[in-house]
Amino acid sequence: MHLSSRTIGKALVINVEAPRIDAPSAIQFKDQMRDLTGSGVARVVLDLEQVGFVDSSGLGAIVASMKQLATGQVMELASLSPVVEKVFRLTRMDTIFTIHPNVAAISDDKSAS
Amino acid sequence: MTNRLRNKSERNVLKMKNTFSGDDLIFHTHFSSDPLSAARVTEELIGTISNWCVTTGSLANIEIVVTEVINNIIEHAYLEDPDQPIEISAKAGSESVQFDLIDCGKCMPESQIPNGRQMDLTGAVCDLPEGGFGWHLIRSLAQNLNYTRDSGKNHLTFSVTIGQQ
Repeated sequence: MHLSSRTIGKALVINVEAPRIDAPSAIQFKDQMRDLTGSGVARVVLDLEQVGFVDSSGLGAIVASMKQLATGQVMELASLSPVVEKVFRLTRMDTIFTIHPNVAAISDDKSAS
Repeated sequence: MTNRLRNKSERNVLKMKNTFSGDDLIFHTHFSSDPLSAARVTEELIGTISNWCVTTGSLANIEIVVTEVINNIIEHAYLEDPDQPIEISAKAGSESVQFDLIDCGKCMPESQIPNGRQMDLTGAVCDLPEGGFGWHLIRSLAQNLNYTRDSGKNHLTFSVTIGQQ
């Protein structure tokens, strides 16, 4: 499990360089998210393009990553695979997060300003 | 996960060979209750089923359900003890795959399958649930769930509907 980050506009885009966020990797994911978002940047976008599968533990770790943000920080998601999208939809977590089809679409979002 | 076949005739040949018809045992193995063994077995299972002409969506449903069932065994039946036995088998019918999971861990709460209600997401962000999604996912995607406890063993059976390509 490795996460990398880059800045697009004012957003910190975090790329998950792993095929799965699941029970074996959930704690590592959460710890790295804490390190990367600790700078306090206001807008965080989690890019899941390389992630083909998220189980309930991975979903819990993504929610925990949002909850550990400081006041004033927001977390959005981008590039959900069909399986990952299904897990978010069935648990209704798709109603909690702003979800972008891909990273190219994030700058079009009005919340970027 | 899909069979990327170049032309229709190849697809038809494969379909003739690999369409589920009866209740054939297509997968059976024993493994220990550590997360990496669980991930390996799930990958093997999905690899086996993907040899048949099953839709990508059906494969995804199977992967989600089996992963959550095994996660629950590891976390709740075995309390994350990594050296305990789990047995899984899968039988393929024409419209569904039937699964059978056996473990020797703790009994389900009140000897029943948890109801898997939708979690409450209406509160503040700090109150959002970080767990409890597993049974909701299983109940959303699996059919014919049945649980029995016998001779110190948990026995869970269920099926997942498949669409054949």
